[in-house]
Amino acid sequence: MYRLHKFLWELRRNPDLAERFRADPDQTMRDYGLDDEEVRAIKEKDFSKLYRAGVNPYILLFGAVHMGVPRQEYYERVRSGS
Amino acid sequence: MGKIVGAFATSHSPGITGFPEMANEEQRNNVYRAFERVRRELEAARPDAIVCVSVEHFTSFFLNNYPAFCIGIADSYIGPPTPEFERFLRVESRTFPGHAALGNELLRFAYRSGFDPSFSSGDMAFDENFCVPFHFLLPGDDLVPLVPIIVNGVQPPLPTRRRCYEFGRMLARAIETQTVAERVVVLATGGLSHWVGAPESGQIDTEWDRRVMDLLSQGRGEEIADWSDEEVAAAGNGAEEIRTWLILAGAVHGRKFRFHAYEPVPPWLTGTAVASVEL
Repeated sequence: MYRLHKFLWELRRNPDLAERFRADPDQTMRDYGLDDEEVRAIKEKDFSKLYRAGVNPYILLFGAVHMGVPRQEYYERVRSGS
Repeated sequence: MGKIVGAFATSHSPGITGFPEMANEEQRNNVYRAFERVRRELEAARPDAIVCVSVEHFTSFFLNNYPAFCIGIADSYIGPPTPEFERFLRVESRTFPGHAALGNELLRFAYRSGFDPSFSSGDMAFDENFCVPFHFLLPGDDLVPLVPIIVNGVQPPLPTRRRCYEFGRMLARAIETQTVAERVVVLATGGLSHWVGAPESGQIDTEWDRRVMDLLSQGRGEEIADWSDEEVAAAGNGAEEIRTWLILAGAVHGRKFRFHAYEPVPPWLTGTAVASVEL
C-alpha cells in the first residue's frame, strides 16, 4: 500500500506525474507500480473501498482533489459503501 | 532565562479562512472575534519568539520517514506552499522568519532530557496548521520569528498522548533554560473533534469537545493524556490533533484554559475552539 500512498501524495507535488495520469491513467499507475485492484479502484473513484482498505484518509482526500474530484463528490463517494 | 509570556490554542480548519461563508454568520463572527481577542493578547505579550505546535497534513513529510515529533530549526518557512493551496485557504503565501537559535536550543535541551525529536533545517512548509491561525494572529508584515514543532496526529501509530504531555513539560523547561529568546509565546493549533476524508466527515462530537474543554478550563488537561485511544478515536481522526493541545497543556502544567469561542461548524467539519491560558 506504500506505492499507492506515494502515488496519491505525489500527484499534488509532481505536475509531470499529474499530467501523465490525466493523459493515460492506466499506464501511468501501472508504471508507478500499483496493482490491478488499486488501478481499478482509482479509475472508478472507489474511495469508499480505498478508505476501508486502510488508505490514509488525508492522503486519499488530497489525492482525489488532485485527480480533479471536487471535495463534495469525494465525500459522497467515500460514504457510498459504508 | 526565557519565560512563557503567552499561551494560546486554536482550531485550524481550512474552512475558517477558505470557505467562511459556509458557516452561519453568528458562529463565524464568534470565531473571528475570539481570534481577534487572542491577537490582541499575543501582541500585548510582546514575544521575542513564538513556539507554534501543530500537526502537518503531508505537506512537508511523508510516510517514507514520518516523525513523531519534529522541531524546526530553519531560518524561514513558507506557507501556503503552492498557488492551489493559497486558493484553497484563501490566504496569500508568506515567508515566515524562523528563530533558528531558539529552535536549536530547544532541540538540544530535548536530547539532553530523554526526548529525540527529528529536526528540520529547511523546506518545512506550513499548510492550514499555521496559515489559518496566523492569518488572524499575525496579520502584519513585522513578523515574530517562529519555532514550529510538529507532532504526528495524522498517520498511526501516533505518539501517546501521555508522551505529548510530557513533551510539553519538557518544552517549558527548555524555554525557561535557554537564553536566546527572553519572551516566548506558545501556540497550539488543531482539533477539536472532526473527521477528515472519512465517511463521518461533517459530524462533530460536541459532548467530547465539552469534556475536553471542561478539563482544560479547570487546569486538568493532563487527565486527557490518559484517556484510552478508543475514547479519542471515537471523536474522529482529526481529534487526534488534541496532541497539540496536550503539548501546550504540559507546557503550562496545571494552568487554566479560558475559551473565547466554541462553535461546532459542520461545513468547516470541526468543533472550532479558540482559547488562551491564564498564566
